[in-house]
Amino acid sequence: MASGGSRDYKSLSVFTPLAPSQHQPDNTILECRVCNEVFRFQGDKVPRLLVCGHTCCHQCLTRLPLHGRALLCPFDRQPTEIGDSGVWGLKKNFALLELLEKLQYPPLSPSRSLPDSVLAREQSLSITCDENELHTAILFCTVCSTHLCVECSENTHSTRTLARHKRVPISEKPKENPKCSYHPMHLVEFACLEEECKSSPLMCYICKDYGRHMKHKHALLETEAESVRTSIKSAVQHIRSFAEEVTDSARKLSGVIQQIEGAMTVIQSSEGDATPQQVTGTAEQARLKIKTYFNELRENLSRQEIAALAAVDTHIREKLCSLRQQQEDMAILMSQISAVCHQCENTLQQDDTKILLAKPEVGNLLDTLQKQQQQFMGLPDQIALEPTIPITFTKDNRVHIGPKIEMRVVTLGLDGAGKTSILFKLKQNEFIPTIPTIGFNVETVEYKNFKFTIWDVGGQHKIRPLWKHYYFNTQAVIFVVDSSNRERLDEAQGELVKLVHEKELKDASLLIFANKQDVDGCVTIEEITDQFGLLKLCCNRSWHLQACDGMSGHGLADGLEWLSRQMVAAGAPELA
Amino acid sequence: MLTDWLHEWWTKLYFVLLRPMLKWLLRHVTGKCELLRITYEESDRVSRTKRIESSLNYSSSVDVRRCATDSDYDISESVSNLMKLKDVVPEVHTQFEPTLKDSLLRIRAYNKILKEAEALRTTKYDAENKAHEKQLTELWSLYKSDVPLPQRVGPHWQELGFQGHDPKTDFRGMGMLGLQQLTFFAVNYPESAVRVFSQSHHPQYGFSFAIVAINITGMGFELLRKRKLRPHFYSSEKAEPDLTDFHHVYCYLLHDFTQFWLSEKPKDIMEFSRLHNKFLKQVKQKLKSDSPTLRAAFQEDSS
Repeated sequence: MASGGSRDYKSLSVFTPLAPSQHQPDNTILECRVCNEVFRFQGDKVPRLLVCGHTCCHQCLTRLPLHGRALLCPFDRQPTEIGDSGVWGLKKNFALLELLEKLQYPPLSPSRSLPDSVLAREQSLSITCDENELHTAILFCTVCSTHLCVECSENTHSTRTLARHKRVPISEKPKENPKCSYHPMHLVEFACLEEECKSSPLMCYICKDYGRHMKHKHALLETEAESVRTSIKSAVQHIRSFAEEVTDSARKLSGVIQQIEGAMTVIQSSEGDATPQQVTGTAEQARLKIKTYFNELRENLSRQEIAALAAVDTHIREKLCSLRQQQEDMAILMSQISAVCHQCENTLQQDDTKILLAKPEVGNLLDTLQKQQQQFMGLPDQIALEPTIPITFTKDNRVHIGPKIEMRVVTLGLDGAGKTSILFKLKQNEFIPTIPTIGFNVETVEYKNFKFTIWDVGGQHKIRPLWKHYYFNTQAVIFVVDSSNRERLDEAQGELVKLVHEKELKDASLLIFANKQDVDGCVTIEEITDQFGLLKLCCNRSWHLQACDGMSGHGLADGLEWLSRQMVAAGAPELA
Repeated sequence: MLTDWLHEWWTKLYFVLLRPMLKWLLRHVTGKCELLRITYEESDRVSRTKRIESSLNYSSSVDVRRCATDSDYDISESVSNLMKLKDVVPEVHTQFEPTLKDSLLRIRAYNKILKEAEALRTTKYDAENKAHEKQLTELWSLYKSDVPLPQRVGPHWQELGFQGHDPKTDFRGMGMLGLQQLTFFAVNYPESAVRVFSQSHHPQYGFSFAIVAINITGMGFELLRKRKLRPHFYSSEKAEPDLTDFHHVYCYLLHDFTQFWLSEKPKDIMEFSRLHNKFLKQVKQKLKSDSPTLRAAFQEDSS
């Protein structure tokens, strides 16, 4: 019952004498020290105070013998005067009663009856407690008109009468308009709507009807407050959604950061046990990618190195083998020569008849010797006697052994673009006005340590379908554009697009010669790049646009230089 | 390197020292100058003219050299000058004067042809030039007599075998010579020209007529420039051939090449270079042979 929180004092009367002692054995201090029975709030067991300061229950006092008009205290025999009303005239010991009440019905904290959420809400209003400035008020006593915290509310309203004060959470506190600052007798009831009164819109009816807001537009304070409230509410809602957005993006940011950095996540396995597992972040993944890429590169390089070494070894072995073979041949030849010499000397020693008889034989020998000598002279000795091993590297890191790197190049373009002129300019350094090419011309052009075999195929419309026969094994395509002929640029672009998409040419380097740059009003290479959409068209192949003119040959060498660089690995040693 | 150097020195030595010595020796032994010796030794007109030409060419005198290289000078005056210079007595060597004159005429004519052809070749086709334009429209009407020329520029030119829409770009290397020879063929041998033109439309072995014709002009001109056509002109009946005779050679070459092309049954047009060279070799062989005249059967009756 006590824990039930009931504050119904009537229930106290049904308490059995034993029950409190059973329940609260410590209450013995609140027993009458004469009869050893517990004090009660009312009736026979009410504690009454004697003059000497001792307290006895009402019943025990009535049992005491009277000594005249006085009672003698059972503890110190001090007399206490009693009036006509007898024992009833003695004061109750209120202090003891209060203590008794507190002990038997420990204050039921309103905090328990108030849910935490309400508590938090009330606290958020942050109105200080009227009892103690350090506390935050939660409750409002409607009787005392005070703001109280839970603790102070209990302290100040501990007595029976005060405890009946109705206390409500502050948010539910009945509203009451304040007094008008000009007319303290009256409450503020209206709000002025005039622009000029914006700073002090509150007014009482006197202000409204007779005072400073006379004839001003006005509204009831409640309605005006309500409208302000709704507007604030909507603003709050707006702010809230904005805040949500902010938190949302903040959450996303943190998510992204987490994804980048990687994190520990708990992963539920199928059996239901949770195991923490490190999830790698994208930063780590990127690092890993780089590592694998370079590892692959290194592996590839070492593989290529092995292949290159093997190629050189084979070359050296073959060369040495043939040299040794030649060496051996020389030795055999030498022995044959010495044998012949020996025989000749022998013959010389013999007498005339024998010499004569041996003549045809010696003649034969000398003949064969002469033949061998001729053969010997005919040997291409200068190649075999070259001790150097010229090495260079192609772009795919293959080793190339030999004095010249050969490259097959096909020159294409519209008719009259200047393909043949460029070819002859490269070949003979001479500009000849050419005749239309029917079929093709083929020439080898040497440039530095390169030997370009250039196939110049006619550009006539009828021949273009035959271009494809020249694609096989072609390492580079030279596409010649007539920069002076703006009308045919579209046609040229069409052909170029076809070439770029040709499967057989997908690995071929593409050199575009913007020819006839010497002609006034020709298109510049920037315009061609733009108009042909070269950046997009040739994005994943090696290509180069070179301005040139076949007449002076300007730019042609640069084009060949570019082509040669496409073949040779960067940083490869130059062949002398 | 070394061989080149040696060769250079040897030629220098030969022309500066050995040849004059040899000539001086021969002149004193035989009592005849070189030109006179040639007229006596060579009965064949072609080789005689060739030798006279080179003899004049190697002469130390500028005046004499002029006879071999110039295309415009007085023959009779040069002949009498030469005879005076070389102390040739016309009464003794009666054949010398007419023979030398004949050879000089031919040499001069050849140089003239070359000069004129070169001038025509280097004349660029000019769309502003009315004469050029007229010749081009004439070309159309000659080969496409049944269809009037639709317009100056257009895809119809490809029917004639030009590469693009405007034939002028195709005349780049041979200039007006290409155009003139093409019209000359149709004007002088209309039947053969039309036949060759229709042969170029062969379904299997067809070719682009106009540009092949221009290539043949190029071939003819190369032969002329390298003086390979001398046997033809030096052996001809006409004592003083002119540019039209060169055009006749062109007609022969174009006609013969077409027949050769068809007989070779080429796989596609890409065989052109190979067959072109093969044909050129044949022509050169013919020029070196005993009958170096480049003349086809269809040309016999018309000229």
